[in-house]
Amino acid sequence: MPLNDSLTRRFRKIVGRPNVDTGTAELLTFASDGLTLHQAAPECVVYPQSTGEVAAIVKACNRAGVPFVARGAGTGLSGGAIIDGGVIIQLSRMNQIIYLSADNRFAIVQPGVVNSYLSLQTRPYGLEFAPDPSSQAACTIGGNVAENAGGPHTLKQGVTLNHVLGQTVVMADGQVATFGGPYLAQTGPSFSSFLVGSEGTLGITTEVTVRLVPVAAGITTMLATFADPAGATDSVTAILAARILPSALEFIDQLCIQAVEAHLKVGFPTDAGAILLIELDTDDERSKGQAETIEALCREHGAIDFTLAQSEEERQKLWLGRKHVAGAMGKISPAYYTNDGVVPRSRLTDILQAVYRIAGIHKLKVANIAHAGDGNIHPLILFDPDTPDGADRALACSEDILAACLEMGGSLSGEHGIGLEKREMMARMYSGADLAHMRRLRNGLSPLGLLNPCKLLPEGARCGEVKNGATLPEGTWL
Amino acid sequence: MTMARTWPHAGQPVIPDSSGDLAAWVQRAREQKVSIGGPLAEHSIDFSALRQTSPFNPADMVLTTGVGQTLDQVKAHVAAEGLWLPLDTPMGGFMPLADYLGNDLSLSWLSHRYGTARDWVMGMTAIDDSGSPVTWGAKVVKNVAGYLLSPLYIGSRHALGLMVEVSLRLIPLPTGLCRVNIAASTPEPLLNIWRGTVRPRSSGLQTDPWEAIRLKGQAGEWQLEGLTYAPRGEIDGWIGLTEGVRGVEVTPCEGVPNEPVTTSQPVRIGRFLPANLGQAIALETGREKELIIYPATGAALFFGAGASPLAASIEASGGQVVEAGDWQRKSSVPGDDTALYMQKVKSILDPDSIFGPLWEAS
Ligand SMILES: Cc1cc2nc3c(=O)[nH]c(=O)nc-3n(C[C@H](O)[C@H](O)[C@H](O)COP(=O)(O)OP(=O)(O)OC[C@H]3O[C@@H](n4cnc5c(N)ncnc54)[C@H](O)[C@@H]3O)c2cc1C
Repeated sequence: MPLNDSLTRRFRKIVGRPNVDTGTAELLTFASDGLTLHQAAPECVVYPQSTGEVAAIVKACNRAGVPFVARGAGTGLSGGAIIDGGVIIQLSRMNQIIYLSADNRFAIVQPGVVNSYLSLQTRPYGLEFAPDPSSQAACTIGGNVAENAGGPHTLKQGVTLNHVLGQTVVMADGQVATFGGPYLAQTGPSFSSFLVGSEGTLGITTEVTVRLVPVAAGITTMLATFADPAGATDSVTAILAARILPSALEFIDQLCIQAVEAHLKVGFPTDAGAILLIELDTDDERSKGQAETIEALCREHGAIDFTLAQSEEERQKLWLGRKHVAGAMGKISPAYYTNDGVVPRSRLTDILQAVYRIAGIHKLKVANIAHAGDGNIHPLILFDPDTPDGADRALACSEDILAACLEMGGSLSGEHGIGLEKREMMARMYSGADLAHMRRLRNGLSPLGLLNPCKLLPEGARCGEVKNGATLPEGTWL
Repeated sequence: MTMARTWPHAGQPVIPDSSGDLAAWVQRAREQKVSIGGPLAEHSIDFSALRQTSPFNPADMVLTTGVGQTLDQVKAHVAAEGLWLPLDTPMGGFMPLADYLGNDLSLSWLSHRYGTARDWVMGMTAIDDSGSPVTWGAKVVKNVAGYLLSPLYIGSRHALGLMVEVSLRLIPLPTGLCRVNIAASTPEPLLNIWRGTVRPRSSGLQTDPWEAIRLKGQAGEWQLEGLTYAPRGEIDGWIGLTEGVRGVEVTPCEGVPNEPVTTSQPVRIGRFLPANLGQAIALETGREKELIIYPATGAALFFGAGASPLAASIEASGGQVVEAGDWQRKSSVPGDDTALYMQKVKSILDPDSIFGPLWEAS
């Protein structure tokens, strides 16, 4: 339904004229999130600054029968934060840390707080927010909650679900509800935990109570270099089988290494088949022993070099390289598409081989990073958007990779969510009864279906397709 | 097929021999308009026969098992492969997972570090109100695909549906832990020692050297018990010259010992912000009944009836004291709408109340 003037007027009343955008050029900047292959522009963007304002906007949308979606930084990689027509509720101005209790190790934050900013504020107390997505310099806590974000260090510390104690949420009908709270002693059913990872389809988070954990007292960072990627993935299994749980265990393959080195020169070995970036959250006697075991296991599986970061500066450099892999892709390809499959850890070597094979079938190059300790792969599928079928082949390649993950007993998504991108594949992971159960819950909690429609569950013909691969009008400034 | 079976006599549970059998019982309950499974249903369920464990590759670090397995059995099964499920309970791990998860008894001396049951259940299969199996989540350690309903089911005492199988995330079984037991006749010196470890004066920064920690005691006999990787010299440093300490035992562990089991059921559970565990604890010095406090988590288990200055202090400082297993009392806590929305979920997932009411009408 097209947005009518009275609704826009209502929004202006709620948030003030400067906080409502309806200009075509502005709206186009919201036409995609991190997944640029899906594009659909909203008709209006509203910038609330309080829970009350969000609730009033949601109620107005309900009354007008207009669909709406919450948006944080728009770094999501499954097309979750876009809407075809309708309203984007842009939460980036709700960016305050409301309360911080170091002694009780929690913080209450607004959803627009940027992930890395939160830890920056808590580190002086020796605390941090553990989930550390590679996009942490931009993505917001609200987006992290909606996508149940992970990151390199969630291998040991757990994902966002494990660090959210409570939330204030504007439900689909505009009611404000609070779930959980600052207590760590959380047993019994948790509506807050249920909402984590629900991709903003059941409510809009306007306050989050997050758990903070002590910053590691010491850190040991290792770089293992392999000629053969399979040696690296086999080492991952061997390290965990040796009863060592590193705080991070990241895989980076040759193409990624070369892109990063072309971009940043962090000192990754460009002739390596793959590297593992391994971190322990201690630097005491115990970790010395563990580091020795890790080195022995890597060498047993074909590591040709193994080094320890000798200083914090060296460590930061290695992580800079890891966190900028995606940013470096521009050095080797005009465009890429990020896949987010998961396999049981024992199948890591198998899935990587499958990824290279599938990419070959589609005549595409693929650069691989993986949160290897979690079995969470991120093949970056490189394509040329200027060739007529470039994007389609990348999508087909990604779909085949996900199908392979499912065949191996894995999942469609480890941390980026389903969004628009993978909703039709949900029927390959779950039975009709499973999906009907989920839909029943969604319909019950969002009966008008206006909140972030067409995401997460298969929709078939019910939802108008957003323009797949549509190009922006010439001259659009992004 | 068990369709010919009749309902057990009053007070006797239904004992399904498989998840298919349980599904058939639910279908029969629907046809005959009787309720089954929930805390207030006409027929309770003994899940103990649902013990099927799927083939398990230790390298995957996920175990999928029927909910008839006990917590102890699961932990022993995975420990044999060098793995650990970091969940515990002071009530003893001999109950089937159906009871452990259904009632959510996962508050333990590990909770400050490892959370509770909801943090370790990656996926679940349950029988819904139509008698069909429904699954969510996955059998891998990381997943965001679809709605994860387990946080609603854990602790809902089978009133939303009947869990039959769970996939549990595991981690390597720690090695090199020490068990520490520090004794004193009053709780304060022990609390002071604990405080010194989580916020050392030397740095003023928050730290946490404890994998497990609890304070337990009653009149004249108090103990700080925990598990840590810290070496003996460091532990001695924590205790230093603290007055009132009667003895210190440090024993290296094989694997991870379970939390010592209490002899009786707690009657109430209090939760509070750790920093508020102030002077009230001193008032408990002469307490006759056992008390367990998880100082880092901010929880207390009260055994035996009667007034408790600590309980009063928890409430006075804004914390909550509820009857054990009675999470829905949260509904009376201002500012938490969980109970309200659980009722909503109940009306969506079980509108005909096949599993009986979620809780007694107040
Ligand atoms: C280079 C790059 C690297 C990345 N690395 C990682 C990684 O390591 N780990 C990882 O997990 N992800 C990663 N991501 C994906 C993305 O950054 C995360 O999903 C992040 O959590 C999204 O946050 P956002 O603020 O950008 O959310 P958005 O993209 O704005 O929104 C994402 C979804 O959340 C919903 N949403 C946002 N705010 C709210 C709210 N307040 N209430 C309800 N719903 C809301 C939106 O409706 C949408 O469905 C990466 C992305 C990029 C571009």
